[in-house]
Amino acid sequence: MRNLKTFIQDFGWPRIIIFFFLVALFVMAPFVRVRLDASVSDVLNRFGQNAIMVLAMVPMIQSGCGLNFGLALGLVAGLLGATLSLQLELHGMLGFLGAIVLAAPFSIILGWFYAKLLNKVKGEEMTIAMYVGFSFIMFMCIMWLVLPYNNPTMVWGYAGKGLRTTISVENYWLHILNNFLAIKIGQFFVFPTGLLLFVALFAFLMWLFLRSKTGTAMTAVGSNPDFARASGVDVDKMRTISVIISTFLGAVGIIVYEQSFGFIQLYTAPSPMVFPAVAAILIGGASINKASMANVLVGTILFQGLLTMTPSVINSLLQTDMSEVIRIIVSNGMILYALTRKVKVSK
Amino acid sequence: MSARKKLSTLFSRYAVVIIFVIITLAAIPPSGLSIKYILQEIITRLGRNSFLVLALLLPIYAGMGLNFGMTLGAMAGQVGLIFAVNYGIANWQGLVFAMLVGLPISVLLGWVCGLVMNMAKGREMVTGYILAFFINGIYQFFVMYMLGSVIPMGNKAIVLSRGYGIRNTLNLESVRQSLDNIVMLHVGGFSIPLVTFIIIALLCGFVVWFKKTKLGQDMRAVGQDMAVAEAAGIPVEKTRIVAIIISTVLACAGQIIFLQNMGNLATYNAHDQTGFFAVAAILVGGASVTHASIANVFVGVMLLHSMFVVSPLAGQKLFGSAMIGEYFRQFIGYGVIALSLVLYAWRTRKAAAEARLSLRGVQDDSAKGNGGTAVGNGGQA
Amino acid sequence: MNGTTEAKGAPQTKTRRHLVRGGLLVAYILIMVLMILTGRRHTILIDNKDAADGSYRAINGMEVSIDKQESSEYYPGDRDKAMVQGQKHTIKVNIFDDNKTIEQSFTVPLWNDMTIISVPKMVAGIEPWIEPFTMAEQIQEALESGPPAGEMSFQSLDSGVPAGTEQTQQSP
Repeated sequence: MRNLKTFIQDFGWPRIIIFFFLVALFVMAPFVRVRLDASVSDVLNRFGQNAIMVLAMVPMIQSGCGLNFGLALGLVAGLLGATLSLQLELHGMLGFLGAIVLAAPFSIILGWFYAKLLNKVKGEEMTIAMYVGFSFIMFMCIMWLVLPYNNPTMVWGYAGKGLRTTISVENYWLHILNNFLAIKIGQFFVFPTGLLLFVALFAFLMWLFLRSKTGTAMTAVGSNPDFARASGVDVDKMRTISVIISTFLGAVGIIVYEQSFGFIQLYTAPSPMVFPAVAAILIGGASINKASMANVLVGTILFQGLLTMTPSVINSLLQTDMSEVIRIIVSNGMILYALTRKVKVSK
Repeated sequence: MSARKKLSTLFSRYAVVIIFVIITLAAIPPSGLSIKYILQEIITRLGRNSFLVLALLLPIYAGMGLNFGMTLGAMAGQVGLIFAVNYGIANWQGLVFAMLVGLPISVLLGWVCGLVMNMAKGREMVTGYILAFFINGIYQFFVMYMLGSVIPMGNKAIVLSRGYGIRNTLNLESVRQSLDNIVMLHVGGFSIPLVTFIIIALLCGFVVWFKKTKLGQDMRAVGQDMAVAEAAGIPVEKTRIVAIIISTVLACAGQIIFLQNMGNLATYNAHDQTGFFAVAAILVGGASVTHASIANVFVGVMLLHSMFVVSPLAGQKLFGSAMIGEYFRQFIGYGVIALSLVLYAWRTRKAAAEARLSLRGVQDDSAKGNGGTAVGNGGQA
Repeated sequence: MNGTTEAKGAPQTKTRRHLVRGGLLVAYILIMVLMILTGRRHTILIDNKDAADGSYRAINGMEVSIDKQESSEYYPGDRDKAMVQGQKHTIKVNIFDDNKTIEQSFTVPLWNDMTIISVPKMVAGIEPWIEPFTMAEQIQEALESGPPAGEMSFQSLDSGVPAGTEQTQQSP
């Protein structure tokens, strides 16, 4: 009994409620003529789309920088990589990997500056990160209009310059991961093997990294900066590394998202993508100073499951589309819950 | 050495204001707007926005930072206006009615906001920001599903054709500029909405008076140091809640004043930018997370909005695209908030470091170097 | 000041606090009722048409004003609207033919959105010259009195419905 109680306390009521709500949705699905196999396939697909962006939260949480509300910087780096890959007419797997390689220098440079800034404002990271992210997105909005891209699939037809708001990757690297070794069962179920393998690879690398010497030092900085400093760890350096990794993962994350979604969305599109990633890792059980791979996996599945299932099930149940409202309340409620929880003193 | 240091502190304190004045002045000639037009716009926008920005003052005094949770009050005001339009209550009476409907809602929301912020001490700003999003979900649910179904709406013209939920845009024709037009002064070719300005002046008077009351003094004490205030017997948590409630109620009234001037209500997103514009304005006016005055509010509204007036046209002329000007002004808005927060956080850290060093009696050389990079990074942001 | 009363006795401050709160609540409700009464907006349709049964005839040209609003001219078959706030109003009619001025005061029910005043009925002294107006009823009426009256009914359909549609177009 006692075990159960502490388990619930550790896990947190919101998560348990969300978990049972999701289970209820799955149970209800067949009764309102929503195909289970299609839904599961959908959830898997969306899990793969978003998991890396959620993974990007881990290093900064571990190093004590809090929730990365400035993930937008990484997303924009990813967009730069993706558009450059299209500009260079890179197709297929080459195009996809090319996008990641091209995004890397941007994410490293941006991440470095971003880390420098965050190191100057310790304790206020989250609010500042949010506004740095927003203003950078706005700055890039101007850049998308004036940068000299000229691939006709990307620029506005009539003006011949300025990138479109959405660019299709159909002839370049659409579903390059999704279709890799994909297993199709029946008419509705597709298992996106390649996508999930890619996510697993990154999760594994992150898991390895957190156990490496640098990784443990980083975690030490997050859990007790003074102690870490005393034992000879360069706090600022560790934080910088974590921010750069987070930014890079954000870039990879959005490129993975794009190859599955089919479009590169520019301009203000990245700003609404940050909060869901933050919410997902919190739903998975992370707090603002501790996160693990399990948090990423559980959180992304729960959150994306919720986003996939609520529209279909609730719509057929109530004949109205409440999914948007539920999404807003759940994701922000989750972040709020994490922010207001008493930060546990690490034992 | 010390003179240079003084200059650099002065610059860092007013960096935002200085940068802003330069950008705006530089943008006026290419925009091609006449000074008279810009002045009239500024007068209009002062009437429209000052009240909302003034709502930010008390939480700053109470040490709770910039109250991004003011959006809650804005939503309460919008609910009030929806009911005023629904019951066909027009003119300034409609505005008072909307305020009366919004009042209990904003008190309730402010109380919730205060409780939540007390649970997240030291993270009030980001918490308020997320809370605004969270309550936005509840607002959407209320307006989109409850109104017209659970709560009957008599005026079918404002209800969606499916029978419940309010339309995306609500025409506020019945209350449009009813406050501004009670007495509209025409002086030297300028139109001045006298009553709106009188109300704003009364609010300023209230703030000045409030700071002198016992509660106001307590608030400042809490803002300076919670532990000391607690030890002095001030009910810290309660005082903080009161500050937030007053701010939320003022934001409710402010949003009603704002919307009566606009004349239209974008039902589902009119409040999205409320907090952002208000916060940007007060920061542009030279306020910081812990220090703000009434002068900051007016200077800020004037500066921010004169830039908002000129930037789309300047963008059009300079780059051949109005969108660039539009993005630019949002970039500046967000950038200003980021920059002021960075400068503030950097200054507090530096002050703390200097205090530590002076205790140890060590000469401080590193702080200056830090200063240079911090400002540089702010520019990057 | 507060300190001394509190020191003397808590119950006294408590009752005073209750009184203040009760007063505030009463004031809140009073102001709200006052705002509804004085702020409620009504549309008044001013109608100058012949009766369907010929019991009265439209006035051959007149000037009508409600309260202190600007007056406008009406000729047979005209219908226009005025917006008013509050419930008690006066209507002033100046008939061109005999230069006679009639002033009448009237009350609009609080929760009524649209009211029609038939000026010919008012001038002829036929009650009720003021009636609540709903668009649906009016269309129904026009359709019912359709075939026999022929031309007349078309006229009433023409003038009745567009007046209503125009109304909805302007108000949103």
